[in-house]
Amino acid sequence: MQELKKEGIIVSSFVLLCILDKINVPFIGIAILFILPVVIGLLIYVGITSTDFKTGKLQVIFSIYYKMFFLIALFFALKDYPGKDLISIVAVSSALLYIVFVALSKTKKGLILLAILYINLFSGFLLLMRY
Amino acid sequence: MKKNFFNAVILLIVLGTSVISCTKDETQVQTQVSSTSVISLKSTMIFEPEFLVNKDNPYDVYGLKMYAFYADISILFQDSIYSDYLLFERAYKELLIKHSNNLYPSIDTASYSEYESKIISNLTTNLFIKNIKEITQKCESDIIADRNLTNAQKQRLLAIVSLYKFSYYYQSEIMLMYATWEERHHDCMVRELNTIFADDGNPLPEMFFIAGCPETVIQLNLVCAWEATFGID
Repeated sequence: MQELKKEGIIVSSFVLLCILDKINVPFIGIAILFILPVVIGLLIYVGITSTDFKTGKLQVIFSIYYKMFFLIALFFALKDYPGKDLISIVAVSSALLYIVFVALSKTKKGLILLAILYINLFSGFLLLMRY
Repeated sequence: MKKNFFNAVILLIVLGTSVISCTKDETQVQTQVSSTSVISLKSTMIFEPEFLVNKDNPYDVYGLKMYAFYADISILFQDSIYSDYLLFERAYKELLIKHSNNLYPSIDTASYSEYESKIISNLTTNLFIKNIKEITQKCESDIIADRNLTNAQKQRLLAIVSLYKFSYYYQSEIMLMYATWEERHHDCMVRELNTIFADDGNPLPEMFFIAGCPETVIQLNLVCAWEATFGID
C-alpha cells in the first residue's frame, strides 16, 4: 500500500506538470524535459524496492514497463512529437497484455484494477493533449 | 435623483476611459508600423549563402539577391513589437514590396506534373540544414541529367529547388539566432524522431527505438539538449 501511495504521488506530479505545461505556464516545458528521466527512475526504484518484487519479479518488471510507456506517451503527446500515436498504442497494448498476464498467473487481482485505472486515466489525458 | 446623477457620472467615466483607450491603441499601432521604415538601417544580419551556389543552376543568382530581404526579415524577428501577428504581417508585406527586385521571378506552374511533384517531395522530406549542400546539388544534377523531363520542366524544377534551398537556409539561420533553447530542443527532437518514424516501409528503426525505451528517449533528449546548448558543430 505504501508503494502505491509513492507511485501515485510520482505519477500524479508528472501529470500535473504536463497540464501546467499545456496551459503555457513558463519554464514548465523545460522542466519536464529533465523531470521525465527522474520520474522514470523513481518509478523503477519504487517498483524494485517494493515487497512484491521478491515474490514476483516478472510481474513487477512488466508493470514498470507499461507504466513507463504511459509516461513516455504522455510526454510525446504533450510535445506533439512524431511517433506519439505508435507509443500510445504500445502503452495501451502492454497494459492489456499485463492484465492478461496477471489474470493467468492468478495472483493479486487488485493489480488488474490498477492497470485498468492507468488505461482509463492516461487514455483520457492522451486524448486531452491532442486538443 | 442623486442616484441617477451618480449613474450618469459612472457612465461618462466608462465611456471616457474606453474612448481614451481606443485612441491610445491607434497611436500605438501607428508608431509600431512606422518603425518598419527604418528596418534596413538596423540590419546587421550576416548570412553566408555562397556555399549553396551551384554553377549549373542559373537561378541561384536570385538566391544570393534574397540576402537583403531576409536580412530585413531577421529584424522583424528580433523586434519584440512584431510578436503581434497583424503587425508582423503588415511589415512583411511592406518588405515584399520593398524587395520586389531581390526576389525570385514568378514560376510558371501550369501543367505541373506528378513526376515533378515527386522530385520536389523527395527533396523536401530529406533536406536538413546539415546536408543541405549535398542533397540539393545531387537533386539539381539529377534534374539536369533526367531525360524524362522537358527543358521547360527542368528550368522550372531548378528554379523551385534554388528557391527552396535558399529560403530554407535563410530561415534556419534566423531561427537558430532567435529561437529559445526550448524551441531549438523541440526542433532537434522533431527532426530526429521524424527520421526514426519516417514512413519509408522499414519498421526496424521504430522497433529498435521502442524496444530500447526509456534509454533511447532519454539519450535522444540529452543529445538534443546538447545540440540546443552548444549548436550542431
